[in-house]
Amino acid sequence: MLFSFANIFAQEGSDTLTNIVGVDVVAGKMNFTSKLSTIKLDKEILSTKSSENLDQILRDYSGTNIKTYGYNGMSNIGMRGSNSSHTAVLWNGINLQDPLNGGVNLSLFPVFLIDNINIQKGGSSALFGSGAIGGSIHLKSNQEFNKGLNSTFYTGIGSFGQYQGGMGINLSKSKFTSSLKVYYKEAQNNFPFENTEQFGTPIQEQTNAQYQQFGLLQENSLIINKQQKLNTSVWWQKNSQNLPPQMSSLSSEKHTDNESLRAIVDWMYLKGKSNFKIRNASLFSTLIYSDKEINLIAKHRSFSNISEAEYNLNLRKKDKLQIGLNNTFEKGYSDSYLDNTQRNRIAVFSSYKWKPLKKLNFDISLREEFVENRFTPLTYTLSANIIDIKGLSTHLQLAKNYRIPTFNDLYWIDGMAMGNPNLKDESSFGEVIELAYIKAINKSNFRIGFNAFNTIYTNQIQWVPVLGIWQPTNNKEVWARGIETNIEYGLNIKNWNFSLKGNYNYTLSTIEKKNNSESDDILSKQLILTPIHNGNIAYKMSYKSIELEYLQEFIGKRFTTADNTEWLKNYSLGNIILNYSKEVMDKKFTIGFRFNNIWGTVYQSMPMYAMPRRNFEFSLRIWI
Amino acid sequence: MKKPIIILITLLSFWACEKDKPKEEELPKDKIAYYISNEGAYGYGNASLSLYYPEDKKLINKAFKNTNNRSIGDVLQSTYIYNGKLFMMVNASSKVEVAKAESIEELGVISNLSLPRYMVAENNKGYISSWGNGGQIKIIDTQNLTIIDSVETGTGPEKLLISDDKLIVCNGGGFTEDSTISIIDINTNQLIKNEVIGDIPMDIMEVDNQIWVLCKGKILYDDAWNIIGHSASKLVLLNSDFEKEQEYILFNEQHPSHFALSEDKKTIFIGGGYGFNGIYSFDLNSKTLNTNPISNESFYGLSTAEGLIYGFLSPDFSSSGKMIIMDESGNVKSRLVVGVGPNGMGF
Repeated sequence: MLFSFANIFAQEGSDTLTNIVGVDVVAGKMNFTSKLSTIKLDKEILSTKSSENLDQILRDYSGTNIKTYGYNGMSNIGMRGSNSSHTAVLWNGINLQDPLNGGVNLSLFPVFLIDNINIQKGGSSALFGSGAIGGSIHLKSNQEFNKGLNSTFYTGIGSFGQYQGGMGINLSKSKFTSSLKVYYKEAQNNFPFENTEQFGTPIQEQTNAQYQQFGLLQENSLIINKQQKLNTSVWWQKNSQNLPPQMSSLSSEKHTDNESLRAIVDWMYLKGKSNFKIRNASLFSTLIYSDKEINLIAKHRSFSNISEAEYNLNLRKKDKLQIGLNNTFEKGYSDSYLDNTQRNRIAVFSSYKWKPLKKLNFDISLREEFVENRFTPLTYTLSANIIDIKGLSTHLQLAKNYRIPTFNDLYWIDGMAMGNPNLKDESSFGEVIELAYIKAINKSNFRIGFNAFNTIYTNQIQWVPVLGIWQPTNNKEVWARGIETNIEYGLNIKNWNFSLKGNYNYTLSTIEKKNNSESDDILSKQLILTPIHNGNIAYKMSYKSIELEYLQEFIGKRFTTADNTEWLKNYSLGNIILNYSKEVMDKKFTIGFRFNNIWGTVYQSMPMYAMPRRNFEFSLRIWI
Repeated sequence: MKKPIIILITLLSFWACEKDKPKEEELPKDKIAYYISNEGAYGYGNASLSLYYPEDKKLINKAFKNTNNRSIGDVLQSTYIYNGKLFMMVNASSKVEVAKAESIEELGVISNLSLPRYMVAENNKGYISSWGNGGQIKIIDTQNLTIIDSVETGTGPEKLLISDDKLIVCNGGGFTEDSTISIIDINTNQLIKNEVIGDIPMDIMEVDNQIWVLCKGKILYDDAWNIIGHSASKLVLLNSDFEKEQEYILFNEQHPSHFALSEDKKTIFIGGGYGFNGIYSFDLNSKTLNTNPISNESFYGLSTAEGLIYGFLSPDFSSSGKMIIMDESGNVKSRLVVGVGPNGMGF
């Protein structure tokens, strides 16, 4: 990742290939995204991160603020001043945002099951649909042919009773691949901490924070002939997690059981300069929340079936056209709904890349969605790209994005809260300018990037007390704007590699319109839990097969009240990663050691959730 | 190359050590104080205590945090002062924090109770209504701060009152509903009975040896959660056997949660709670409700003291609320910014 300078020139996806083997299931849409604000983590990088979850990877490398409800607890992300339901997480092109609450828990995605991660900052609803307002995270599997039979194992052990292991087997023939990965992880999370929020500031051990995760991923890819390829993926995962008490509370008996099953079938057809893709995904999810203290058990289930057809055409001068149709059927069940709820959404989308000059291109993407009996507003992305004029690249973009209300927003009902079936879609309109300069001198590379964004979020959904009942309304408007800077330096001397990468983000995200019931004091104030300053640096050095990496993350002050009268303190964490890899007779192994929070920082990611000080993880991965 | 990195890391580490010290304000001594409970936003652990000194008209916010350098917890439901001790019922943290009433210095914490709400005390015994375990009164020793007994009540016990040797508890229903009051013998710590008096009993007071209960009433829904009607809110007067002697309908379609007594003990002011607008007065002599409110604001909490009405505005639970001080005619004397989600005060 630290030597990923070439990425920004990789404007052409692999769809330009004339061989069906290289046609990627998601490359078509990625052709129309900005490469300047995309962070790519490929299989090689992720192979040394097998024991980590997606939230940890994003915390280390994306320079974004990850909000975590306790160590190894539920995690979500906010990009460019947006909130957690504004970031789409797509697996092989399928949006995994839950139709019930719009959220994705990043701590439930083990890196061992993922081959590629692309982190795309900025909204792109015209390409990826509802929910991709602040950014999107793309998880993808690799299918490699002609690699024979191989297998991989990994095991890990960490502080606070953390054990994990996984194995994978992959059969790779010239026209067929099949792989199976299974994975298990558990932790006690019983770390000691000084509870500054309790009488006498006792040193205590975290309680009720245990979790178990078990996952299985099975994927196949079949080349039917020179024109056709078929992929299937099935991902089953089960998680059982206790929810720890907040520091000011004495105990917790809260627990969640989460189970998901995701299945995708892709068929791709290649002819000449065009390809045609059809995919169908079925997503099942169950969440059972319980709290013994108040005798509460709440069950929530959702089902989504997403069908998509996409046609990509490569025109003369490398112009590209994409048109597509998406049908998403969603069904939700909850103890807090009157009945099963469902809806059907049909979207048409199209993108065109016009490349009048070798180093100049323009993209336009459009999407129109029909939800049940209404059309959503037309969403679009317009962008201009100047690529590598003496090392300088520029991307300008105007985009309108949207998010449709979740089932909870629409249909939740109990004695204290009531959904609002008349909610409008959230929308955003924003402008972005991105600049990057790259310079390579002898054996060193240098890149500096600068992005500025300005976005207005309108009709934001917010639950407020209305006549004694909490109800969602559409009255909130948020203005997010800021700058992102990043810098990369890489140096290669014989067997030594050095690299330095840093991100810094300045984000103002202020409330401009509010609900009538809210205080006037919240206007023009920063959104809660959204740091104005955040960033990270990563320093890596490697000698032959030994890698040493130092990571420092810093998160600024985050307000916890809408009128900005209270806040969480800023914090900065340092981590060290040491990896050693060796190949012996076609067999490779990697030993990893990770030392987290080396400065022993006391911090809170979310209010009142204790986090551990220094802790360790060991891992071993073998490829046979 | 390495030097700038080390400098950068050092700077970042120093930056991380920056302290946000609260502004401390010295608490007046030997002054009457009102103890305002600010619930905070549920799940954020930012409940706070505000102190108001009526003699000097002085307000001090975040008094507990400034004194003890930590937060109270999640959802400060109520405060109660007894024998120089301040008891803070921290609902969502399932604990009672105890501090010196004058200096707010922490004294201890009472645990092993679930979802505490309100407290009364007598003879060094405190009675705390708690929603957990189906509804209980936790009886505590107010000197050594331990739980000495539990008595089961109806669902969701709220405000309570000691009258002679009886404890009367309003069972407000908690997360569901109830229509009873519990009568407990405080000599034996035994439940005598649960008496049905009206939908959602929330508040209770004794005026001239007469016990009044505010029943909030409720909204009636069909199976599809459509509103099909209301059960009226009412004032219920109890007889000496703690049965309903008389009831006075207040509102057919509005549901106030609190009431408070005027200085001359001739008027009950009614208001407060989610979705209820205004403060109304009920004349105890004529037993009639004045349908013209003395205030039109939507208060969340309501208290009276020394001839003044204290209304608490909690518009959104995500920003600071306000305490509105009025005379008994509703004329506003001052509007003061307190903590997030103020709901009432103890004194």
